[in-house]
Amino acid sequence: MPAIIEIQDLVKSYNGRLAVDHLNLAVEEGAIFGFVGPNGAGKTTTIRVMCTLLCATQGDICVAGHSVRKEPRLVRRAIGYMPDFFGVYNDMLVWEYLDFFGACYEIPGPKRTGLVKDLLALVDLTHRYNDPVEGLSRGMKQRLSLARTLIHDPQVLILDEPASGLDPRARVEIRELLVELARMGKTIFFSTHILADVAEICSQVGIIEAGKLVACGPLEELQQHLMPHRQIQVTVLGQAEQASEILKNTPGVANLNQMPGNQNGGRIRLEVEFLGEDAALTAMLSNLVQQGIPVVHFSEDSRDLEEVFMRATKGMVT
Amino acid sequence: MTEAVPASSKSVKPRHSWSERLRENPVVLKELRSRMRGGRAFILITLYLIVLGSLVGTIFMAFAGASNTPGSLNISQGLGKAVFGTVVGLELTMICFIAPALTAGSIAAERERQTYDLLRTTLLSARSLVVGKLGSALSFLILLLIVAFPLQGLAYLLGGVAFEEVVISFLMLVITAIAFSAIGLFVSSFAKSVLVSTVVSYLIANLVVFGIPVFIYMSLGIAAGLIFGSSNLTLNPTQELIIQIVGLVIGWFFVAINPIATAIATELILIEEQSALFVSLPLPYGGINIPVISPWIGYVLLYLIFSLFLIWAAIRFVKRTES
Repeated sequence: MPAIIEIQDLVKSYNGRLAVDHLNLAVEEGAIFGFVGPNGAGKTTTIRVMCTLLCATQGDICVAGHSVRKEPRLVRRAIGYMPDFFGVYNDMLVWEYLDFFGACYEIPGPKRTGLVKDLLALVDLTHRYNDPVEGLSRGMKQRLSLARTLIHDPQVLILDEPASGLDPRARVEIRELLVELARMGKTIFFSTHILADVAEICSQVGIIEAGKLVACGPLEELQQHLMPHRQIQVTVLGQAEQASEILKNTPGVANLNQMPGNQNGGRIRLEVEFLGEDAALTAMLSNLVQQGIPVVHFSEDSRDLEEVFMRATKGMVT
Repeated sequence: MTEAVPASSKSVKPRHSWSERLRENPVVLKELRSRMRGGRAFILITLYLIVLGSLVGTIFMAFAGASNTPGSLNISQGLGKAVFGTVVGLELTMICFIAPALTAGSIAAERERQTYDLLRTTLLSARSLVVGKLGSALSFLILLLIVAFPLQGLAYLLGGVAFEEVVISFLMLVITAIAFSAIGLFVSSFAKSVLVSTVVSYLIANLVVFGIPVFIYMSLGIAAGLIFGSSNLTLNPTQELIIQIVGLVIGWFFVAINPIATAIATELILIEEQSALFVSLPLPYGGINIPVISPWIGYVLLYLIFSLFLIWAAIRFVKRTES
């Protein structure tokens, strides 16, 4: 798939302090891209340059084939931007809020009426059509804000922390909406701290720290690259020394740790870092059992994004 | 080889008049909806009319009570002039102090409530945003002027007020509304907060109404003292004439930039010279009369140029991308 967002050697500095340091990134059309990083990493700065709100010190970003430096108006036509705060207009009703932004995107009046109703139905806010925006819950405001980004049918949605501050149910609703929008053909680029959201829905992940991109690609590839070892948990009911000896001599075992102390009536847990395939894994288990080791638990830990993130970043903040 | 596109299939953007563009401006529509929602605007207009009407009523009673021959033509005309002067004077004062307040928070408030970035990422141009904010403020101010028409009409019916006075006063009120709204809008375009924007706008408005005339008056006094107070200075007739003309121009300018001074001077010229456009001013020395345009014309032109500059500057500030 061609890249719909291309960040080319982006540099942004504030009074000599580098907020974004030679960032290069490409997002495929139709992808859900999770932009992850600690506070102060440069996520919001990158997003603001992408949305033509900030001038880059060096480099450029192309969105849907248009440069943010040379064709900002065409970039704005192609993107829908949702910041990490919900800007409220007092005394505005829900339908007026969408109607106003529809007018800002030059959508003719007669077309806006139907569009507003369709978008409110999509984000499940039809029942709040005539209610003041101020009175909506935070989750509803986020859904309304998402509807606003869709009013002009953009190709790319750029969302800064879309699930920030939401309760678990609201987060799930937003996630489901994003997946639905991706199915409709939108490309979604969003920044977040909530790694569970990224793991659930993202087809591509970019990890940024101190202005530099430290890892980028599909999540499985990142996991494979940053955590090549499979983490196997083996719990035995005694004969821990013998089990450890057998495992150390098993092909594919890179490292072995015995967890301190007895757990639950004499059980001892061993953590094995394993490099082999599934066939070698089953052979390992069979070998243990054949050797008479009393195995009570044998499982593999999934390589979660939190672990990937911790391995990719160093905890630096600019 | 590319084929020529048939003329019928070319999309032609329809050309809208300025009034259509203003009506279709999303900012104007939004601001008017918010401003006229609920009872707030109607309460404000009612209070405004009560105050204006009470003052006019007080003038009427005082005038009628002080007169020995109530109902005579001269008394009626005098009363008409007093009522008209009161209404216009109050409206002028109202505009000088309400107009900046309406626009000082317009763009700064978008920044404060964090909607400014949302607007800047839409297709709404900087010009549409600025003109929209100005248009909505002016709509409300002109509404306040229009609701006071019956009181001006009362003055017109009593007599003593020429049609030219009504037209000139309305023009002056509108241009004052534009200029003082533009001051607030200009400051709002770069101020980070509504409070700072409001304070600076009022400072500028007070400077324009009071500060500049005081400065020019003091400067004239110092200059006159320096030139004419020196016993060693001898001027030939040409030099004296030039100094008088320069003094006259500065004095005219001094009047033309102050709304209250312009209103009073224009009224005096209308009464004395019976002319709405020109006045013939005699020079102190030499016995020469210089034709000078009436101050209200200079006031309208100067403030129009001033307003256009402020609006242009506000658009430039809004247009620039944060670096």
